[in-house]
Amino acid sequence: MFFGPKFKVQENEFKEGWLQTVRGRKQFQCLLVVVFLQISIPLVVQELYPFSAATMFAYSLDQVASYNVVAPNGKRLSRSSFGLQINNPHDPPVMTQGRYGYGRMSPSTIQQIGSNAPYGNIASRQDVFRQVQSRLLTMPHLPYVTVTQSVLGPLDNHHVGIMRRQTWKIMNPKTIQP
Amino acid sequence: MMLSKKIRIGLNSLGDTSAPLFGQLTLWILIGVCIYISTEAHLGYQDYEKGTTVSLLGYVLPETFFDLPYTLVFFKGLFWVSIIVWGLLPFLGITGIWTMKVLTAVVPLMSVLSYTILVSIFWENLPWFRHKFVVPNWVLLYYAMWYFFCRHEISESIVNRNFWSNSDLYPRWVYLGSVFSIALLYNFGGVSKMLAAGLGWGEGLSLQLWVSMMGDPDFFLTDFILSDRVNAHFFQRGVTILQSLSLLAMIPNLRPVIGLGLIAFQSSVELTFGIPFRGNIILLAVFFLPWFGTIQALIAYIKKKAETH
Repeated sequence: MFFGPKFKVQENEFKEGWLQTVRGRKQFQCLLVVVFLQISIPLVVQELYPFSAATMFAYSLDQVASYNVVAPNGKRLSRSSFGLQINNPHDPPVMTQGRYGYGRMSPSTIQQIGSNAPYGNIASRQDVFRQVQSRLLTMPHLPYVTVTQSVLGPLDNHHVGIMRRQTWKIMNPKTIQP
Repeated sequence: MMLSKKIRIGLNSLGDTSAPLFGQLTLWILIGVCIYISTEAHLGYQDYEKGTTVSLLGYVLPETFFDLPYTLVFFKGLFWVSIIVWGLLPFLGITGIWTMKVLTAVVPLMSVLSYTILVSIFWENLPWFRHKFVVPNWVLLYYAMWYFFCRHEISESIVNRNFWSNSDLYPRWVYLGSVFSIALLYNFGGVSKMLAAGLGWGEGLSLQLWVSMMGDPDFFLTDFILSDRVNAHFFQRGVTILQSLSLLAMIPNLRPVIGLGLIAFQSSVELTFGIPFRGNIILLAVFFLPWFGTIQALIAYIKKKAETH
């Protein structure tokens, strides 16, 4: 059983092997350079297209927070409008050689903290209030929003689920300012 | 046999050749894959603020080059035209030997260069990475090197109409270089996980969290992974081991096993998370599974049967 194409031995008229010929040596040197670059560059820089260390899913998580934002009329609002979304839960930006992030910057979010645990840190009540109130300043039509933080994590040694859930009514600083 | 002699024989075997049927069939499939995924390159996130440099060309060319809206369209067009001409080269013998020599030298290099520029422009304008573009780029490079280094033999064979029967045309290094490029990316996938999180990466909790956040509730693996951490641990550890050992695909007898494992892994990722890597799945099947040998053996068997009757 053979797997790919069947190859026959290449020898020139002097019964020299491929590497003994000038042409073979040239090809081999070129191959060596390509293979060396393919192996070495991703190890140093991780992501520099077309070199890649395939960093998807590289950062493991212990817990992660998700958010729901609801307007006073009960309508659910986009969490990204308040910077509470997770941009790339499986593909966090890598920090190498002074470079951090992607070609374009993702919309800013409270979830993006540090490079070692990009989505594992759970924002405190104060952080969430600060973040949401800063966004509410540009939304004078909303006197307040109701934000629910759900922390997803291990419930026991076998299952994951919502470990804790907190709901806050966050006032718009514009409406409470004198 | 002395080790140095074994190594010399092994390295010399990289120059062994075969008829170009497998090479040309796989080139056409590769062309299809590249055209298919290149349709996904766009500039839809250009209104986001510029981030960091994520491509080698980003350090060579000025930043404004990647911002121009028509560069992507231009290089996409150039890539499609050049790669289609490349695929048709075996049928262009009527153009004459000198034209054919120029075409075999220039068109494949133009294809791989325009693909690299096109995807670099795409990556420089994306708020994430798109790893599915990487493997086809490297396999394309090995195939362009094949046409470039063997341009005289290929052109003469095409013009003399013995291209398909010439057993000196497709070198083993093109085939093994393609297998290596595919296996290496998966190997890096395993290494990256180890470097980022150590052996703890595969303990199952993070897979359960990802599946809980992004998993398709209708796919059976979603329930299976969430039902018990032991199941998640089995999958996650299995993926790390499989990816970290991908380079063992350089050993012919292990290639189909690793290929099937990686195809199963990529299919599961798509069905669970909706992240498609169809181009990689096709290339894994084409370069890792023994379809060509099986078909050839089947044809030989049928011919033999027909002769005996």
